[in-house]
Amino acid sequence: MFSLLVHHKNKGLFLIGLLVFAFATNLMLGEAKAWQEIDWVDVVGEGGSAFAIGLWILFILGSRPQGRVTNLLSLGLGFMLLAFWQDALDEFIRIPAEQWWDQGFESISMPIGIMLLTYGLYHWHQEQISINDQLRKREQYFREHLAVDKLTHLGRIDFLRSQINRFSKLFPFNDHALLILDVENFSDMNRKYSTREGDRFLHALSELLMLNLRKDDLLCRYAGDRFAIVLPNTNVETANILSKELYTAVSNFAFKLEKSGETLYQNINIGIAHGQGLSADQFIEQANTSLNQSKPFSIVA
Amino acid sequence: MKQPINISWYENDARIYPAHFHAAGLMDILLERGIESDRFLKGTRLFYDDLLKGSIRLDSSQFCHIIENAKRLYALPELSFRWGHGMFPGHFDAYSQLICHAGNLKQLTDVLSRYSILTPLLSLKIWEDADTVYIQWNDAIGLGTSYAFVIEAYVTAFTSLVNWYFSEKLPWKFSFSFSEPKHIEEYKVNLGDNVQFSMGVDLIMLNKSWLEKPFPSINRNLSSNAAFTVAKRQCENENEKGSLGFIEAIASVLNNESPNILSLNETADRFGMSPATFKRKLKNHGWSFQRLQDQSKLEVSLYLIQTKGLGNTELAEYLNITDANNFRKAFKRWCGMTPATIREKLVYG
Repeated sequence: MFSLLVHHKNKGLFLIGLLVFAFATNLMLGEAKAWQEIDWVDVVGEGGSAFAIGLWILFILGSRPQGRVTNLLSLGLGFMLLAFWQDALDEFIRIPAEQWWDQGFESISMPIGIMLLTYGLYHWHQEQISINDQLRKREQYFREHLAVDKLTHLGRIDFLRSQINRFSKLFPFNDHALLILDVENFSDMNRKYSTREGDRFLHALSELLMLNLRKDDLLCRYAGDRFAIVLPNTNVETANILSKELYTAVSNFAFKLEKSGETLYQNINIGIAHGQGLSADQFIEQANTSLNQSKPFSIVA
Repeated sequence: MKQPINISWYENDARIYPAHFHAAGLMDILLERGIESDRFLKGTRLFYDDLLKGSIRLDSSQFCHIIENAKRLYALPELSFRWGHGMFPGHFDAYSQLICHAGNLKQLTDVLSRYSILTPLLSLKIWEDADTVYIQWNDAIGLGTSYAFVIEAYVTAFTSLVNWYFSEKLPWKFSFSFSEPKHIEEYKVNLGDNVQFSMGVDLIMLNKSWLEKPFPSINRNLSSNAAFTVAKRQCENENEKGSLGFIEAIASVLNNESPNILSLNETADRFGMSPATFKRKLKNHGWSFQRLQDQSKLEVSLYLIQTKGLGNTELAEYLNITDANNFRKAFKRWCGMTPATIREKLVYG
C-alpha cells in the first residue's frame, strides 16, 4: 500500500530530523513546566493537529511519485507540521521571554507552510488536468477506482453499463455504437505460453487499442479476453471504419513474448451494435450476437 | 433390516486432496497477482513452504477455506474461470498422462468420472439419452458457499480442455442449479451463450456424436493406446478405491435405493450411525437430509424424463407419489419449475 514511500526516504528522514532538532533545542534552552501549568485542551488540539498533518504527509508521500508537486506539498505540510509541533512543545516547555525565535518559529513557519502548500496545490491541479487528458479514454470524466480492472486498468462491465446509459440519456436522438471484440484463440495462447504471457498480451492490447481511439471513445474490459469500446455519437459507417482500423492495428502488432522474445501475431474478432436510445443491455446483447456471427472477422454491412 | 452399505466414505476433515494438485493451480494465480501466501492460507493452519514439498494433503474444509480467502482477496469473478482454464491436463502425475492420452471424449469422461482425484470436491456422473450426453456435477463433500465457484472452475476446465483438443468451440449447452449470478458475462465469454440458471442440477450437455470422434492429434502429446494403458495401470495402483465424499456417498445410497425412499433413520443405519450423529454430521457438511432427498428425487426424475420419456403419471407412480398433480407440485418444489418446463429447457440444440 505504501510501497511508494521508499522513494521518499530522504524527505521523511529530513522531516523527522527537523522535529527532533526542534525538540532538542527546546529542551536545551527552555525549562519544563509543572504539571498543573499544562493546559491539556491545548495539548490535545495542537498535538492532534501536528499528528494529523504528519498523517497527511504520509498519505501524500505514500501515494505519489517523486517530483515537483510532491516536493511542494510535503514541504508546505512539513512547515505547518513544524509550527504545530512547536506549539505543542510550548505547552510542556517554557522558553524564556527574551528568546525571540520561539514566537518567530511558529508565526513564520506557518505562513511559509501555507504558501508552499497553496503553490503546490496549484501545480497539482495543473498536473491533474494533464493526467485527466491521458486517462480520458479510460474513464471519461468519471472516476471510480472500485470499478477498475486490476490487469488492464480499464473500467469493468458495471462501468461500461453506466457509461452507455449516460450517453444514451445525454444524446437520446444521436446514433451511438458499441464494439465488442475478443482475441482469436486466446485460450490456446494461454496454454501454449502460460497465462502470464496471456495477461501481458491483454495489457499490451489494451494500450494498443487505446492509441487507435478518438478522444471521446471509451475502452472497457468486458470479461476474459473480451473488450468493449463505446463510440458515442457515431453512426454505423464510422463504427465500421473504426473497427477495420482496430483490426488492422492489432493484426500488425508484433507482440514480443517475455521469455523467449519471440514475436506473436494475433487477430481479433469484432462485433458491432449501433442505434439510438438503446439501453446498455440492449447494446451489449446486440454487440455480442454480432461478435458471435462475425467469426472469422467480417464487417457489418 | 439391511446390512450396512458396502462403500467407504470420508468426511470434511479427512486429508484427501494433494495440495500440489488442484489447489496449487489456484494458489499460483494468486501469487502471480502479488497476493502473498500467508494471506490466502490464513485460517488453514498451513504454510506455503510445506505445501511445496508435495506430500501435504488438504481436507475439504481447508480447501474451501483457501477458496473463500481467494475469492475475497482476488475480488474479481474471473478467478474461478481462470483457475479452470489452466486446470487440465495439469500436473497430476499419471492421472495427467491419462488425460493427455485419452483418444476421444468417451475415454476422457470415463477417466474423469473414474478417478475422483481429478475432480476433487465434486462428483461426476455421465449419462446419455437418445442423442445427448449429460455430464452431471454434484457436491461431493459439502462445499457450502464455495459450491458455485468450484462448479464454475470445473465446468470451465472440462470444456476448455475439450475445445482445445478439437481446436474449436464445441456446441456445449450448460444448465446450472443456482440462480443467474451478477457476473453472467464471465459465463458467456468463458463458456458460451448457451447457459441456463436455476435449473436444480448442474449439467453440461453435448450432442452424442462427439463422444466417439477421435481427438485430432495437434495440441496433444503423441497419443497412443499403449501410453494410455500404461498410465491407466499406474493410476489403478494408486487410486484409493471407491472412497466417496460423505455427501456423495449418501446421494449414491439414496439414488441406488430408488424408487424406495429411505428415511433418515434407515439411511443413518446404512452408515452405521445413530440418527442424531448422522444428522449432526450432515449439518456439519452444510446439508440437511430433506435437501439431499429432494435432490435425489429430482435427479432420478430428470434422468427418467430425459432417457425414458416418462410422463408425470408414470413418475408419480414410480416415486410412490399419489398422483400426477402432486408429483408436479413436488417437482416444482425441488427445482422451481414444472417437469414440462424443464423438459423444454433441456432440449439440446
